[in-house]
Amino acid sequence: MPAAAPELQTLAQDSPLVEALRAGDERAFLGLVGSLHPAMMRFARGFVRSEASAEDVVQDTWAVVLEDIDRFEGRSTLRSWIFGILGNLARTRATRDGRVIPLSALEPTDGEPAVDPAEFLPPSHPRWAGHWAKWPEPWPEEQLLTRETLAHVGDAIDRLPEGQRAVIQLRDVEGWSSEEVCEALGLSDVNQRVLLHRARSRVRREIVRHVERRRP
Amino acid sequence: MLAWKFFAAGAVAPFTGVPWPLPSESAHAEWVEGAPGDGKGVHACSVEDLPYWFDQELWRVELGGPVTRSGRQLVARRGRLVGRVATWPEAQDEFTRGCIERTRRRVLDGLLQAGRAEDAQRLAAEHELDAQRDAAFAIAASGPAFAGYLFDAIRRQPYPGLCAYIAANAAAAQDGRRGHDVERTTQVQWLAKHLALTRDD
Amino acid sequence: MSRALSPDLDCIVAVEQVTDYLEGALPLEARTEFEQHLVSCPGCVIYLRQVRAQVAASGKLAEPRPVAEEVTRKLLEMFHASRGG
Repeated sequence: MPAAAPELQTLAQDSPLVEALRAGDERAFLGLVGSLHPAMMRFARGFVRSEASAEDVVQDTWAVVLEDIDRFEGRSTLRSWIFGILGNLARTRATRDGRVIPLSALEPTDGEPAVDPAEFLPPSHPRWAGHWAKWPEPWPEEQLLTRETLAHVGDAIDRLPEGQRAVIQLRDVEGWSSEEVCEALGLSDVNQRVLLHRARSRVRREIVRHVERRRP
Repeated sequence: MLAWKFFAAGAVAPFTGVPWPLPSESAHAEWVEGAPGDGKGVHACSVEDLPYWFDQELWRVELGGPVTRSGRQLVARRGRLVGRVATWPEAQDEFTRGCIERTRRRVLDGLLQAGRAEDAQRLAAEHELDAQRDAAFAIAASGPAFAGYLFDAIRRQPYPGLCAYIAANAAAAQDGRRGHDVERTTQVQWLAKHLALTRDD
Repeated sequence: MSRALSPDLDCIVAVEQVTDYLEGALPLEARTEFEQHLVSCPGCVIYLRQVRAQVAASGKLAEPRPVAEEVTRKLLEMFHASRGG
């Protein structure tokens, strides 16, 4: 199922852009900044948690990008390379600011179920152990896409552990492919999926709570 | 090779959402290619698989390329629509009523075997589905949980895949693997007969 | 009376497979079983729809925002400095 990917970048698309940047093409640079900067800010905020710190690390990232662009080999997409730099800088900054983010934050933690087991019939049920005790209620689209609900979704994402937040941010919010996310975050495919699964499950619970609260 | 496939309305493949091109009066339908790669072909089923895949429309399909089986499904390189089975989903109601009736008989048998003659009588006396459902619920609540399968089957009548599954589970609960297979075979035979399906796939 | 014969997929297991399913990461046999479960489980069908809706809604959080002028200015300075200007 394709996630929304308004500017899905491919290695092929990157090449002329990289050339233009190396050649000092100001418009190319501004175009790149325009398309990536908001996403970079959103991503950085998952690590540093203050707007000012996020601005710093994003600016520092651009500095590194400009310094290293001649050495960029194009083995990953440009943006996953840039976000890889950003992630490292953001983590370093967060540590410096006293927020210690262990590397293991990017590794899956021990199994938490996607859905509260209480929503399913217990093993003692004579006929339907493990089945829904009550089917989930469909979410009306008008309710899901209100500013209020979206704000709840955003909040839920903000409150995720760093690893889960990073993955769901890039996959579901920014619409990146799993390959690019693994590239940018240095994750295996499997690890990325586990983090995505946990992240989506937590966010879903927030939506359920919010949507159900608003029911008459 | 010919096979069968259930579709969402408009000959839309139920899981991929891909609409299959329709055949015209004069020409075959265009082929739909499965994505390359392990197991990513086009899915279809043989008659024996039908009760596992219910959906809005049932079509005869032709499969091309090597065809393999994965569980209760056929996987092929490509497929195309041949013709729609006109009697589906019109026959759905009758099909599910059959599942319910067989489940009712199994529950009655089960109650008698368990020495619950009074419960069996009470249930047998009901002729309307609603009343049978409520009686089954009450009986299950008072002891023999097995009766609950009839409650489940009637309650889920609008969902043929689920109703068929409940009937199969009730049969399995009563008579193990053999019971399960007998029920599923009965379902298949009913479909083959009432939808006038030929079995030469 | 014995329960339904395994290896039927239960909902409590199916919901843990949804992410892999949507990623196309389930091997063929598991994918077949998962889809078969959906046919007999309107509850899980709704759940899957919810997950898809949630992902679509999350995408709406990626609002394009114009970069602040001051930031643009600073970055342009950096750009020209780095290109040997």
